[in-house]
Amino acid sequence: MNEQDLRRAFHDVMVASSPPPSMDPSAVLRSGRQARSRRMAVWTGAAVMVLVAGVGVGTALVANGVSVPGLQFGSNGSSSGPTENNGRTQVNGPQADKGKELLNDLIAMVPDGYKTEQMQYQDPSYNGSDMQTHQAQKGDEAWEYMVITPVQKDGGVGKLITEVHAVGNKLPSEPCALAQTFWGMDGECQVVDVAGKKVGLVTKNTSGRDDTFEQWAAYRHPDGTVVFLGQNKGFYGSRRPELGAQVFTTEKLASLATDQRFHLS
Amino acid sequence: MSDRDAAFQAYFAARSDAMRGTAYLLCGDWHRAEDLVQQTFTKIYLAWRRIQRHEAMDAYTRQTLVRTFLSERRRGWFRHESVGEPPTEVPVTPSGLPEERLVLLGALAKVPPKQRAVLVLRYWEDASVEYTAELLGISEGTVKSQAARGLQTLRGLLAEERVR
Repeated sequence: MNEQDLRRAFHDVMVASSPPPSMDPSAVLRSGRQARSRRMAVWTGAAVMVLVAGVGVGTALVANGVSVPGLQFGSNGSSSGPTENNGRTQVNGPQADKGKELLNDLIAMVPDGYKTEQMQYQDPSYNGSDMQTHQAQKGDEAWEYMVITPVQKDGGVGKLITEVHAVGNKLPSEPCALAQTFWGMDGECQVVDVAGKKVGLVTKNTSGRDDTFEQWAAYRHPDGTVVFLGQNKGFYGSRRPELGAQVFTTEKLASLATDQRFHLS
Repeated sequence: MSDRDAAFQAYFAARSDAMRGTAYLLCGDWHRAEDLVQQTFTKIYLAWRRIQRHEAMDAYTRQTLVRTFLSERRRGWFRHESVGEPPTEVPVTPSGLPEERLVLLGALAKVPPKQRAVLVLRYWEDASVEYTAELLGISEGTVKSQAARGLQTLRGLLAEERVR
């Protein structure tokens, strides 16, 4: 049997077999909703445990068998309102605040001459949602933060992203292995030295996906915190032209990935 | 129904049959294939907002399907979320299939899962070496070697069957 034989055989099997009727979309939708509810229930249950116990600052939650240290409520927390969660995502609370700060820090690093104001997607499939976003979510092992901002210049729109995985993550240590975990993308990677710090730097995305990032840098701090910083000349869904050039040189991208402002807990 | 749910349902209706066909060749029977498709689309539902911003939706779904298959094989089939009977290693006999094709399905079920995934992606989905490598998260060289080994394994198994 060679390759062509196998192709034919697969085809014959599929033609000759009798598939059952098409699956019911509503059953799968129910399964999806139930899975989402389970996720949300974990969070709701964890929050209720803390509130009922009257525990305030510095309480460690146990959610889904995973310790979640540092989730704080009350006057010493930087948010005044109650913590709200949507699944694993914290929309109001200390981690959500860190996400906002991370976005501000990223914006502060953009060179003069670029605008970084909020924009809305123009592609109808995005329902007019915001292009500039920040997010804090509890991953399987550690808090994860992701911020994205559009950058505008001369009518073009590019995209910057910072993603931080706090201490406790299980991402690889080797810089290029680490870099290749970013959004599951492959790319041409090299390890560069930034003042003695080893950074995985991808200068060309080879994953074939045009809606992501052309270049990114990955750095693991000595305590295990991981920072990804990525850039793209275009912003998929904006329906605007690309920037004429990347915002940062690759050297700057690598350097910024080691910046202490991105070193979140 | 929300816009999100409506869009998800429409996508499922459009693509689930094709994904189930691939799952059938991976699993060897329709029952397992449907379980795999259900698990896959449940994951897609949870990640819907993020994924729908990606142009290559089918690639995501196919990747999730194959990786779920490999993951479930490592953990043991139907350990999670199964409501069916525990499967045997040999696929359930599909009615109406010529003997020769039954032999092929039986032999395919004995090919190691990762080799099987490579064979199905390369020779059923007609995926390129590069795309297969990306979907499985392995190098292109590994795809080529796994495809060659998979074909070799299949040849050996089919030869054994013919001797019987």
